[in-house]
Amino acid sequence: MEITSRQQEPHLVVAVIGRVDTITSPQLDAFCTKAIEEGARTVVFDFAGVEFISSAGLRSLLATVKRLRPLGGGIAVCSLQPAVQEVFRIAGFGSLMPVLDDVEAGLKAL
Amino acid sequence: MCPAPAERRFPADAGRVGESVRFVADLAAAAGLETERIGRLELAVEEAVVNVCHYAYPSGGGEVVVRVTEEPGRLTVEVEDSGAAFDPLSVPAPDVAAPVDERRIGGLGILLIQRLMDEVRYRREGGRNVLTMVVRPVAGDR
Repeated sequence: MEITSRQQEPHLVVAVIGRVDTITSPQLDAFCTKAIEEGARTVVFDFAGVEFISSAGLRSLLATVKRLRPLGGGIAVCSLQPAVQEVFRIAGFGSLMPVLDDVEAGLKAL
Repeated sequence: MCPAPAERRFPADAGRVGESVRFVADLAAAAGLETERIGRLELAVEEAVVNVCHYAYPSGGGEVVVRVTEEPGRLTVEVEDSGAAFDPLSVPAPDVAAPVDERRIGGLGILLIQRLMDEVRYRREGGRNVLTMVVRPVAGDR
């Protein structure tokens, strides 16, 4: 998994590439924890490059939402591939965070 | 004809779950299963094996046995451990409509397995927990 980020005021855009699974999700956790410590409050995840997510990856996203909410922030997740979209649908994640077709929509949603 | 199942034993270590996922994915690919179906299988195997790694052997150690049987129109994966009797299918499904503060991840792995596989069964046999997951090719879709 590769994570890159860029500031697009006032949001942080985080592009993830690869698999978000039991092995890699601690990396995503650590990245998000650091970003929040450094002041990020609204995070737009670009998931166009994510081909696989398991419940461990969902846990990372939920943990990030739970950390940001008391700070008045939140996340949006964008550009889901069909397999990832199916996992989000089963897990009911669409009611926890905006899930959008592209990053542009994500930037507007937060 | 039913070919003999392919079987491999892995240490019950969540950090090594990728090995069992790849074992199943390679066999599924060799069996000609579609990429989308292989993806579902990879997810189900990860969730099942990680469950074993986290819960079957509280004092550490232990093994997980993964068995793959290819039959016409179906691929069957069995995930087996010799830990305490535990039926993962008996765990109540998480409330996937709950608000953020009440949302929990526990049970989501099993829910994903149940929704993504065509059949899921549990049995306790000879002191072992066996979770059976069946996936069919898209052509045989319901």
